[in-house]
Amino acid sequence: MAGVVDTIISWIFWPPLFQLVIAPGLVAALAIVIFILWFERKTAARVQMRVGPYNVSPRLGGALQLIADLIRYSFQEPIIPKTVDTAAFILAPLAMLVISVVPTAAIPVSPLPWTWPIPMEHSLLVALALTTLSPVFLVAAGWASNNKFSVIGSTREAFMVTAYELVFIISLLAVAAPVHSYNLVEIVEAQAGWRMFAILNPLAFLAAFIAILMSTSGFPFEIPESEHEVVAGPFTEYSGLLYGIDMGAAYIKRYVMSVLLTIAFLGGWKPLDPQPGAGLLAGYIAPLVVVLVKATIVMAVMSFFRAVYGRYRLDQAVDLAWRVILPMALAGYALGLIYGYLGVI
Amino acid sequence: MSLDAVRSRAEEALRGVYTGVEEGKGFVAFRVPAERVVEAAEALKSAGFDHVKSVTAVDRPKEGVIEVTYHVSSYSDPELARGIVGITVSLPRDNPRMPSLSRIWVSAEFQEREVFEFFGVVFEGHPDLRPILLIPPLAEKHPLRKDFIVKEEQVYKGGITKLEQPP
Amino acid sequence: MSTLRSREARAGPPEEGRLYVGNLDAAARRARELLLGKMKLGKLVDWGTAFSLWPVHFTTSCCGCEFAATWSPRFDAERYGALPWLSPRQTNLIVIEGTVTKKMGCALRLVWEQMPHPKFAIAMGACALDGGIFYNSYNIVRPWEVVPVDVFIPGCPPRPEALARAIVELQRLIREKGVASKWIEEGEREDKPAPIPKEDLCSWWRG
Repeated sequence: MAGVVDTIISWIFWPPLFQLVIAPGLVAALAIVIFILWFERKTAARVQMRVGPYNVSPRLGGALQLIADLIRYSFQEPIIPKTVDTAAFILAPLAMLVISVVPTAAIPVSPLPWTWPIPMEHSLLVALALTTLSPVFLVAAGWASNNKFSVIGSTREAFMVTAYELVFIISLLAVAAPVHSYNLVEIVEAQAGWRMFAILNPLAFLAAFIAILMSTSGFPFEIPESEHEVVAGPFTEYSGLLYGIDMGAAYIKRYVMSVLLTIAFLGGWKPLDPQPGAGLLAGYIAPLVVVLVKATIVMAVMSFFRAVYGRYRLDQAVDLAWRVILPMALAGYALGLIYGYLGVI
Repeated sequence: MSLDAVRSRAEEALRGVYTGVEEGKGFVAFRVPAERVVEAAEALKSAGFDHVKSVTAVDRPKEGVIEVTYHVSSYSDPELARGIVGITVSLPRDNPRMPSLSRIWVSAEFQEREVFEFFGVVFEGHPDLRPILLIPPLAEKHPLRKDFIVKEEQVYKGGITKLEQPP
Repeated sequence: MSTLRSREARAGPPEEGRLYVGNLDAAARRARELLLGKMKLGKLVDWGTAFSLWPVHFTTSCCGCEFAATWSPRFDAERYGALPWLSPRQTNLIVIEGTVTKKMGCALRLVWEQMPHPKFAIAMGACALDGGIFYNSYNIVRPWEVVPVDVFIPGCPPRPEALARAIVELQRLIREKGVASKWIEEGEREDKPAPIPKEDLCSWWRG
């Protein structure tokens, strides 16, 4: 009997499945995104001296608000206009959702080799490459909608890709230089104690943080979906569940990038130090929970910006990215090279 | 004081064309026959009055006329900007037609459309004479003419009353 | 299978180079019957819809100021889960604020048709009830002649509390009568069908 239970547990916790589908993949991503969306509305309300969502569940402070929104979206009529390219219109959000989750396969959540879905020798490069895929489907969604606002929103997203992608990649490579490795596990192991790269190399950390905000329409850069100019950007024609998937995919992308930021700069699972003989709980679940909590805190800070900042224009954002943030990322990379040459870490 | 300069400049431009003058506060109106209105407008344009502020009309059913008034002024000449000059045209009420001035002053185009739908004045030579504010079936009734009847208020006399519908 | 074949016969063969996505309507109907008919999720749907009324505001008059005040710090209608939104495709409530002229009546109907069902309407202010000070104007329509209105708010303009009250009343209506789940189950609303306007409001737009 115990053998059967062990077999089932080993199936569930088989890393390629668990990592992609449950945590830090799809299920954990949805749970954290639902929490973050509620947190965002509540924070914006508190900053504006309002109460925010409350009456849906007064005892929980309106925490079920996003569940109510999800139910309403799921059961609303999914309108598919006659003028859209039906297949691309339906498949683009689904592909965006799936592609946004895929980088979690290359992100380790524990130093023990049996918890890795793939070999981790070049995992930083693999994760970076996979995060750059999803803007294609956002552009496809806008293009398939055959609506002028959607096309304008897609074009803005395409412009923003040129702004943030280089910054994000260079600033993450800045952590590979001091460690002399692209292995995310070694990068985390190098950040023992308080020697986190966020403190050692704040320039690269700040550049990566801003690049995440840009890539996921975080608030100072909410340009593709800016609702006062282009109605809802690439999602103008989407309704019902498809719109929910669209919005969810954007937030899941932000979550996955936050996990990557946590691993690369904030020390990953670092207060914990699982030893090679550790079991499932101490070797896999506990470090995973630490990583998720850190990523959630990063996302909460990003949500707070929504209530504080206005919005840049497209030209201002691209200008800022190339004139200020790209030099900052390059300076961070130079700092990483100096650390690597001196052998500080 | 300031109006005098505007008035003298406009009179000079319209010499021999106008048939009467009315004056208000900051405002001079010249009465012009309908067949010479293009000539008057061109004279005013060359005198420095470069835009139309409004086009409006007055329905006078007892006299059987509709008076169309163009209010013109200037942005380029600060002396002329102190006053408003009007050109008033009297048209027969049963068939009000006059040449459009929107070729001379482009800003008159939409306002001529408005006068067209509310009073039924046809501007000949207008590039796009369609109703602008009203839906087409209503625009054919010309609702700002005096013979267009609307529901009127009634005094409450107790009991249940019903508003009378217009015939 | 028969529905699939009839759809193909009606639509002709799928276009060259396009992925054929199947009969979405039939699939949606089957899912509806399973979830609402057999699993009895109606109460859950009503609860979700009632606390997620996102209004698209149709500001035509001065009531728009009161609408803005309703979502501002002092009154905060977001407590009820209502979030003002700009795009009609993602909303399910339209708040008609003030006088609707005949040309605007066409726009009102178009916005209404763009929203996915189940959808609701609130008519705000004396002008939206029966014309208000424009009661005898030749160029207005009553909103209830154009779209089915669920809640009327009297006042000129109504206080923000009145609008918040209307949202609470609408929530009560949805949850007590099960409007949303019935609407989804039957595919159309039977107790309040969409009215047909007395005159053709959109002729200027098509022509």
